[in-house]
Order: sequence, then C-alpha cells, then structure tokens
Amino acid sequence: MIIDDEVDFPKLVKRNLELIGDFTVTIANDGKQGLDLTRSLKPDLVLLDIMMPRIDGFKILERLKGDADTAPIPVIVVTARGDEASRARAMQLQCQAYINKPVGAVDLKVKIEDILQKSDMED
Amino acid sequence: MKILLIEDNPDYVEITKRVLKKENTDYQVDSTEHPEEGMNKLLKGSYDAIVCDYRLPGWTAFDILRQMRENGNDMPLVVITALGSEKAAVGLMKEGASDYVVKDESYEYTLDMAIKRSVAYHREKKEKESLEEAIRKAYIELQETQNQLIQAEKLNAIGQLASGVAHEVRNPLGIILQGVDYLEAKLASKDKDIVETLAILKDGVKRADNIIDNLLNFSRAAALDLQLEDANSILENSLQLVKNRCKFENIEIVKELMTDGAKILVDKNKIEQVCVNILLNAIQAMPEGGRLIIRSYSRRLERARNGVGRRQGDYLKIGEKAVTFEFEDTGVGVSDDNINKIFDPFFTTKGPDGGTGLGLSVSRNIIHMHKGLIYAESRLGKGTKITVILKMAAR
Repeated sequence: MIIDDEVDFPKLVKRNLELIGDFTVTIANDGKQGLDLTRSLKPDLVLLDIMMPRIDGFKILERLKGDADTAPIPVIVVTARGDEASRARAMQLQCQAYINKPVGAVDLKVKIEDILQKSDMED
Repeated sequence: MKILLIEDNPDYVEITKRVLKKENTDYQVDSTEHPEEGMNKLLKGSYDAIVCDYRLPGWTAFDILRQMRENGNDMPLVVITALGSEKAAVGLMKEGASDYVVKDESYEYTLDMAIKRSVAYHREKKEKESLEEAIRKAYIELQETQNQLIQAEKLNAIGQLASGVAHEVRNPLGIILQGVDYLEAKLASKDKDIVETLAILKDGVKRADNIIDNLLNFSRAAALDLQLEDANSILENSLQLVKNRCKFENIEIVKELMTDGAKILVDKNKIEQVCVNILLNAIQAMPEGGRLIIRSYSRRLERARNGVGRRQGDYLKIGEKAVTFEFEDTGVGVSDDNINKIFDPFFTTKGPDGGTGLGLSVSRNIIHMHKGLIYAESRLGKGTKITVILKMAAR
C-alpha cells in the first residue's frame, strides 16, 4: 500500500515494484483513503508520505500503530522531508524505516524486502 | 620626573642639576659625560626626558637623536647649547628634538619650562596615539563583527530557503528517479545511447540531490557529533577516498604529517567532508597533473590574526595549542580578485559544469561550527594553499 498525495510518484513506484519485485501495489492518494484501505485490505507493508493535506503522515502512522488490527503492519516512511526532527518523530511513532526522496527503485525494493523479512521473523 | 643628562662639561652638569633641583624637587637627574654611555643608559633605563648638550666629544645632538629613533625611542629630548644659533635650533626641531635651550642668563627658567612642556606634550601625544590605536582596533573589531553578522544572515537565509526548497524539489526528483529506473528495467536496452541517456538522467538527479544536501548543511549547524579523534587519521581517511583519482589524474601526493599523535575533538564525518572537499578542489585545479602536499602539525598559537586573539569573538585564543592541516597544490591558482570570494556560497571558478560553488562555503561553515579557522592563499598559475586550524584536544 502506498499512501501519498502526489500522483506521479506512487504511480511510478507501483510500476517499478511490480516490474522488478514480487509485489502487488495499491495506491491511496490521500490520508483518509489510505487509512480506510489499510484497515480493509491489511497489506503486508505500507509506504507512507508525510506531507499530505488534512491527515498528514504522522497522524496516519499514529492511528495505524494505535489500532491493534493495523499495528503489526510495517510502515516505511518515504518523504522529501529530510530533517532530523521529522525522522525522530516518525521513529518515535514506531515506523519501521524512514527513507528520503529521491529514492531509486532498487534501493526501495531492497529496503521493503528487508523489512518484510524482519517482520516475518518476528511473527 | 626622571631625567637623563648627557653633558661633557662638568660645570654645566652641576649647574643643570642645581637648576632642576631648585625648580622642582621631583626631578631625579642621572648624568653622563659620554654619549655612548648615555645611549646605553637609554637602552636599559626608563626616563621621562633627556637633556643633551649640542656638542659632545665625537657626537652632536643630531647623532643622539638619530640613534634614538633607530632604537625606536621617541622620548622627548631637550637640547642645551652655548650657541644661540637659530639655524641649529630649526634643524634640531625638524629632526625631532622637543626643545632647544640656550645656556644664557635665563637658563634656569627656560630649561625647567622646556622640560615640563616637552614631557607634557609627549604624554599628550602618547595618549592620543593610544586612543587612536584603541579606535582603530574597535573599528576593525566592528568591521569583523559586521562581516560575521552578514555571513550569519546569509547562511540563515540560505538555511531557511534550503529547507523550503528541499521538499519542493525532492518530490519531483523522486518522480524522475523512479521514472528513469522504470525505463531502465523495462527497456533493458542494449542501445548505447539509451543506456547513456538514462545514466546521465540519474546522475543529474544525484547532483541536484547533493546540492540540496549541501544547502541543508547550513541549517543543520547545531548538530555536531563531537568525538576525540586522531588528527592524522582524518587526513588519511580523506586521502584514501581521492587516492585513485589522483593516480588517474597524474597527481603526486606528498604527505608531511606530524608524528606526535595530536588529537582533536571533532565531528569526524564533517571534518572528513571538509578535507575531501578541499582535496577534490585541488585535484580539479591540476588538470595537467601536479603535486599535492598534505601537511599536519601541532603548535601553540602565539600570533594574533583574524580569528586568533584574546577577544570574545575569537575562535582560537593566543597560547592555545592547535592542530593545523595544510593542503597545497601546484594547480592553476586563484586570482587576487577572487581569493576572498572562494568561501562565499555559490561562488565558483570552475564554470557551469565544474561545481556548485558550495563545497568551500559548506567547509568553512563546518570549520566555524568547530570554532576553527580556514583560509586560503593562492598565486595565479602557481597553486593554492588551504589551511585549516582546529583546537587541539587535551591529552
């Protein structure tokens, strides 16, 4: 699941991940849709943007991790906000990784696989 | 008041001493008949004024004056003489004598007046000079503070701009990179031009991202991870990163490193970033190859210079031990007009493809964050030397 208000970025990430990896990707272009889809679809992993109108990435992360149903789903924050404060806040809200844009397709795929592997081991 | 009397006539020594005693009991008169001895006394002792006969064995008052000035002595000198020559008086005054007194019937009165007037004038002159010096120093300090404020304001503005721009630019960069990666994977082309074009696009994204990183470094000034580090290891690590490039560019590396194992309290990654920046600049300045000298030494700072002194704003204090890194190349050099600008943000002499003009300004910012100094010396066509001075850590 990719939650990002940008249109083009998630579209291209979806294409890349489905092309070079064994993934099925769903896109939500706003926070509310992202929350709803995550709750209903229970994806294996969420790629989450921070700067979004209305419900931003921090709030989504807080709600996902605060809900017993969605808390185990690993979340990777993928954002253009490179400042330390944002990273620290996201880590405090228990995201599994924090990646700065721009990120290449291969790097992103490797990170996703790494997080999924760790998540499987914990299960 | 302490007076040195140089007079070869014993009668006048007595008369002068008596005159001065009569006029003012505060006078302490030290006398000699020999000019050479007088000059020695001047070197050793401290006097308020000199009273000197015009004609002395083998000397005149002119010789005494000249010798005094050569020794850097500007003490008031009153010439006494039996000759009432106006020409001699004017000549002596021109040469720097304070006054000229004729040994006539008014000698008692005029000598005392001449000494007092000369000493008072000399004191006033000294006070004025010291005030002027204080004003000059204050002016320089004010100018330096103003420069620092302008620099800080510039950096602050860049920091704010960078944070805002970073987000806006990194989103489209993310899109471009994902797009290029997709095309690369999808086309899996063997067409050399397509492969090269995609590589150029990726490189462009990286360069743009690096510029943003450099800009953001301005606004992350406070975050230093300070650890005790071996100064030479930082140089060696940085050199390791550029060694192959030097070999490729036909550049000989000469290391002259200290052997006392001096340590510095620094953010290792940031200081290595500075060293690599400087080394890369040096390499780029030697397109035809050349020699790159890397020097390190530790010493106690003894001379005041810009940033080294006893003032509150000085990064390094006199008497403090410091480690110095020097990076000297035999490259194209920088002109006198440009040397003061090379630490300014966005200033570059490398042309549109050579650099962002941020490397050295970021480096200076990092060194200043460490309360250290960085400066450049260069001669066009001969080469450039960049010096970094950091406070040495206590052992």
